[in-house]
Amino acid sequence: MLSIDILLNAIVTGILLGSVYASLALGLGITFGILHIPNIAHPTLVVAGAFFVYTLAQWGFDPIIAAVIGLVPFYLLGVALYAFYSTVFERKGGANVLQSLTLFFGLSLVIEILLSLGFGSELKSVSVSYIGSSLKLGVLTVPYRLLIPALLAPVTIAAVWLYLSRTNSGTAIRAVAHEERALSIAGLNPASVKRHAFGIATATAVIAGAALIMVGPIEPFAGRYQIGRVFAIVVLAGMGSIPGSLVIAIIIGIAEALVSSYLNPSWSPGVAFAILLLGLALRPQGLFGAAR
Amino acid sequence: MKKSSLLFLAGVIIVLALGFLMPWLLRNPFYFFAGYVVLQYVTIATGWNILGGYAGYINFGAAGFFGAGVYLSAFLFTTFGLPLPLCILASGVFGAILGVLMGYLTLRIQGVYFAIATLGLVVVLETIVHNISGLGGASGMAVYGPRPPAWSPGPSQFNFTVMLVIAVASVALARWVEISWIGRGLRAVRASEDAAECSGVPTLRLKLVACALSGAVLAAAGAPYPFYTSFVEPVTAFSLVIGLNAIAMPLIGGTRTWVGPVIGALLLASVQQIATVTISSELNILFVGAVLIAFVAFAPGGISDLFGRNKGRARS
Amino acid sequence: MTEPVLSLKGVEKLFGSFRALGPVDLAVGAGERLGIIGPNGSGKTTLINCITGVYQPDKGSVHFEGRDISHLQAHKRARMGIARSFQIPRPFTGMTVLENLLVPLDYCAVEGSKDERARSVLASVGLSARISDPSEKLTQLELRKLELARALVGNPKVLIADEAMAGLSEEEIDEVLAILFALNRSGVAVIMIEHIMHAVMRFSERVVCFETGRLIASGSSSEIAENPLVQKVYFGE
Repeated sequence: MLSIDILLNAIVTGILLGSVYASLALGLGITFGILHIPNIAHPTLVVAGAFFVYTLAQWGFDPIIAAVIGLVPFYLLGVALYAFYSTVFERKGGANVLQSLTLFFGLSLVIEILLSLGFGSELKSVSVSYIGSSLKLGVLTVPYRLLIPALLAPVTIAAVWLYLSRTNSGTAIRAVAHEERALSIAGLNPASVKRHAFGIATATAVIAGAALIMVGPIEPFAGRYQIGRVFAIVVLAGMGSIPGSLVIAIIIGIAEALVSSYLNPSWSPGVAFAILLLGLALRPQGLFGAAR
Repeated sequence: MKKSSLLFLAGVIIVLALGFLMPWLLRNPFYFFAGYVVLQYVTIATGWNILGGYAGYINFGAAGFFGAGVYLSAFLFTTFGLPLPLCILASGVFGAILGVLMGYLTLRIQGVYFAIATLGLVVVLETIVHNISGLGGASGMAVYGPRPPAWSPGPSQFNFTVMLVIAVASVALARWVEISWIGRGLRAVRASEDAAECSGVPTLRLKLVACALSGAVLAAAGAPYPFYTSFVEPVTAFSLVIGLNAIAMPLIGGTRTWVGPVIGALLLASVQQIATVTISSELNILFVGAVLIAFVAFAPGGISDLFGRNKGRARS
Repeated sequence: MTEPVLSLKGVEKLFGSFRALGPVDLAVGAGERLGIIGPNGSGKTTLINCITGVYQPDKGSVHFEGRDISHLQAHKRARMGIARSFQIPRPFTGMTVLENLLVPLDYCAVEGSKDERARSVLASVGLSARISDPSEKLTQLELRKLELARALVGNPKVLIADEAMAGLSEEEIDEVLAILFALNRSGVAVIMIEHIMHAVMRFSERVVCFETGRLIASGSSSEIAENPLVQKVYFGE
């Protein structure tokens, strides 16, 4: 009877959710999409970012301000992670994908446990005045707790994309995976370019973390439910296509919202994964990536 | 038969004989209760290594296969009263099908996609089980296992012996794969997929065979679990600890031969069984995670490479 | 030319809208020594990949011994007798030198004892002393030899040597050339892709030159060296 209302609300919720997912996937789009480092710890880093924001929010900071403060420590954390990764693997003449996967898997577990030891395993949330209410537009009801984080994502993505495409150091990052030698000839150190890129990718995790904890309460192991989503987004967008990732993320968000509304919310964790498998089977090179 | 195969066969017979005799010699059922878990991990590590070690394709979703085995076996037993050996067999077949399905969808592209897909497998299977009320949904279901036969003194001892038979069969399967043409082909795939293909190795088919065998062993490892705990629920059947141990044990023991996962599982699972008495499960995961990182970073050949005769072998 | 063992008719390979190769017509005679030259990115590697089956051509056909193999998988082509070595050696690490040769022997039908066949091939390329060493321990030259030995152990009818001499010294180049000449004398057609001009010119009965995915010149070594199109590609105007 009210199916149009439900449909409209589901689609709008899906678009907003998708936008949040896109910000979760942004860092992975840099590490995996551009640098080809399969950083499966990224969703856990986002959760760590959420706990960072939670901690500052306890001291009275606004979550978005807290995320901006977090950029520097998370950038440094990323630089340190890459330094560890590269000293372990790249000196042996190129990293083995499977070993690096295992390394990041172990790393994500350690981070999760440390978070759980530090904060306990209960759900944590932030409360801000503007999060509680909803925006009503005709039949649409849009909660601010979803709207604000959803607006955060395109801004972050646009900033990162402008940086990557318009600045010299951004261009160096995009070039480093393919033209390492050319980069050295141009007088840039590929290792430091990658370290910088990894730092930026990790810094985006704290913004995504702020978005995540604003949308809903979070626990230390929440990252694992995001893994399917973020990889689906990066892979299906076509490795390295950051604007494309926003589109794919929104498609996934809408699909999940529709499944939640019409089937049962308990089915939605599987949606992204199903889309990923389908996408891999049908179009392995990604939907927006250059066919190779 | 080669000398090494005769030795292996002798070892298998001794281990099996001990497995049937021990329950009558050691009276305390706790040893068998703890021993079951150790043997379960020997099976899991061995199964994981067929694909992960020999072919170099990392499966993060061991818990998905294990949980599928747990639930299928519980379902077949409680609904149809299928005898235990058939439950185990059915779980194995189901695991093989699941493995081939996963492999077929993702292996044509690159190893990294397979790994990512397996990460999602656990979430999906858990979601499915959550939504099937016939399987108890999120709250789980009770399973009253078969009465132990006369040759076994009690349920703990019986479960132990069943798991031992599965573990030995799995190790024998892994060893056969390793020394056969399949094993050599898989190792070639691990070293260089293109070069293997251009040497006449049907790489995709071999990888699918490995997926099937690995999936079968992982799922079979879960089949007796409902009878061991008398209760199944999604959280334990698809536990993170299983996925972690499945990777950590072979990597710590060494992935190149069947011995590595066995050593890794015996060591790590025993430590965990002793440690659960004294430390929390969180510290347990922290410990395994840290050991895993240390081995991947600094000793990728595992223990069998550190102490083995292949000391000079380069790491790849 | 003798009866062609391998022939390409109108073969094209596109990546998206980028035409990496073709259309190319090329026939290789049984037992021929064919050199392929051309600058980087001229389509040589794509050509090999279309022949060996890493890629399937988008248009045209590849025939081997009269059979259309355009859509066969790479391993099937290898078993039929199309072997290749890789530009950057790809030994099967974790295996000994001998085991490296047992891999193709396991999967390609070869008569007689596998072990003996592997040993005799290793002897013919001068790797007898390294037979039970792990392949990771070989020198650059030895890796090149292993690459060739692994390619020819399955008794191929065509061997594609992809820059088998890059980075080697003059004496080492002579060694590799001697192996290829000996192989060719036993009736195997050898396709040599090479940037080291004097080596290709010395080895090949016929040389073809590629530029931007197309075959622009074909002829004997001396004809190719004097061809104005080839000179333009290599030296500009």
